[in-house]
Parts: sequence; C-alpha cells; structure tokens
Amino acid sequence: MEDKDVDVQLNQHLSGDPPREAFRQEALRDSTASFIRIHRRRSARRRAECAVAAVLIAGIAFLGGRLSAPPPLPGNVDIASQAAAESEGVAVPGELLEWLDVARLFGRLGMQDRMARAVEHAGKLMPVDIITSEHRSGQVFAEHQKEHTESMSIPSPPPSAESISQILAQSLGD
Amino acid sequence: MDADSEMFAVYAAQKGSEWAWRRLFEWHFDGVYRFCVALAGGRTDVAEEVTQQVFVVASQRIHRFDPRRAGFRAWLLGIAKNRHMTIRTREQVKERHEESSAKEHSEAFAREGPDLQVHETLARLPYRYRVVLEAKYLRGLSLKEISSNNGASIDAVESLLRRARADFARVYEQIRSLE
Repeated sequence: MEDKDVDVQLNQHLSGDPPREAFRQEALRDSTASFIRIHRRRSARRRAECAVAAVLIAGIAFLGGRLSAPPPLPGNVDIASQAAAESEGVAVPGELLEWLDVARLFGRLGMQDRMARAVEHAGKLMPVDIITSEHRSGQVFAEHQKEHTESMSIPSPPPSAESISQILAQSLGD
Repeated sequence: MDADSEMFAVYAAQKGSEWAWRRLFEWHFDGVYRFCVALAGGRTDVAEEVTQQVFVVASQRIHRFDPRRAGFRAWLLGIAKNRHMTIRTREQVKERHEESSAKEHSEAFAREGPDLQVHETLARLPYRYRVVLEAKYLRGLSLKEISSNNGASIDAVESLLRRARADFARVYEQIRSLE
C-alpha cells in the first residue's frame, strides 16, 4: 500500500460532516450524568460491603472466642466454692484479714489490750463453717498433741547428789 | 494530550473523576462518531444513536476496562460494534414485516467492511500516530495547526505523518489478511 493510497483511504473514510454540536453536548451530558450516577451507586455499594464485612468479622471473632472458651460448668455448681476447693484454701472476708493485721500491729507496739480486742473482732468475722471445722480440728489436734506429749515424755527420776558429783568429777578430772 | 495523559485520565475516571471522564469524551468523541457513521452505512441517525449509547455504556463500565488488554479507543469501538449489532437485530425484526427495505439495508451493510477496517487500524496504531492522523483526516486541521497544537515544527509533523501513514499501511494490510 503506497503512501498516496493511504492518504486517499484516510481522506475517504475519515472526512465527512462532523457531529452536530447539539448532539455532542447531549451525549456529553447524558454520559456524564450516567457516569456520576454509577459512581455514586458503586461507592454506596462498596460502603455497604465494608459494613457487612465488618459485621461478619466481628461475628466470626465473637463465635471464635465463645468456642475457644472452656465448656460451661454443669448446673448449680457454685464457682467460688469450687475454686476454693480446687485451690485447697479457705475463703475468708477481707475485713477479717485487715483486723488480724491491725492486731499484729498492736502486738508489735505493745498494746496488748487493743490487740486482744482486734483479735476478738476478727474472730466475730470468721465464717461459721470454718469455726466449726477449726474447732473440730482444734480438738482433734489438741487430743493428738496431748497423746504425743504423753508418749514422748519419759518419766525420769530427779538427779541425785551422787550422780552430780560424779559428772563434775569426770569433767574436772578429779 | 499524550499516551500517558490518556492513561492517567482513564485511571482517574475509574476512580470516579468527572473531569477525567469529560477529557476522555472530548478526546474520543469524534473518532467514535466517525466509526459509527461507517458502521451504520452512512445513516447519521443510527450513528448518533450508537455513539450516544457507546459513551453511556462506557461511562457505566469504565471500571471494567483493562488497559493491558486493549487501548481505550479499541474498547470504545468494541462497544460500538455490540450496540450497533443490537440495534441491527432490533431493526431486522421490524424488517421482517417490511421486506422491501431489507435489500437496501443489506447492501448498506455490505459497504461497511473497508470503512470499519480503517477505524480498527487507527485504533491499533501507536497513540502518537493515531492522534496526528485523526488531526489531519478526521478534524481536517492543517499542518500549521497541528504543529502549533503539538508544540512541534511543521517538518516534524510532516515526518510524523509519513511514519504514521507507513504504520497505518502495515497494520491495515495485517487486518485485511486476517479477514
């Protein structure tokens, strides 16, 4: 294809009446309005998708958290008592501990009467079941201690004057 | 306008810039209209309808346009072909009841081939070649006007036109050999 043929071809097919100005303006107005409308719709849809995604993520995170938690405890089990039993400790009121601390402080300061009152006050705060069990265990302990002391204590005769003089003589080399 | 500014305008329009959309419209409207005139066999009423639809559809689907697959002009021409096909199908349904006009339309359709190849060739040319060829043949600008628009000398524009025509001939022959 020669350069001249190209020129003819292009002239033949590209030349012609230009589009009407009114038509151009109409096409521009319509397409721009459509462009704006579609863009707004897409933006709104994107925002809605983001909101849905956020809700889904939150839901999945919530469910994941719930499922990863330990299984629920059966029926009417008291969690506090179970925790106390598991730790083999005794749940006592915080005020009781404070009174005991105060009593210890009075003891250090030599205020015996105040210390006694503080201990008495703390004793009133002691839970009833603990007092009972402590009382029982205290009794048992006392009995046990008594037996132990009795078994351990060997009755020995008081040292005589003769034996003392023997010991002293051995020690001093007489 | 250069290839980079067109790419930038396409990108900005995909992000929702109305200004960018208006720029793209201005740059491509004449070329697309001329293509539609050729597509419609010279019927300006059909050409206007197709052109209108091309830009409305393009404004709605510009976010789907992928510059790696085709140029923006080629994409617009593809839309034009589809819209024209739809209009033709609609018209053919009517023509079944008006057999006398069918022959006339089929003759008009037969004449479309070479015209479309010219436009398709232009759409496939490198950007700077298409712009200078359209400035001369589509808008009918003189060498002086083109050179002042591009900020180049008349000699440079002449040289660019020669190279653009040579490339046009090469691509045109390729398209014809494929069809």
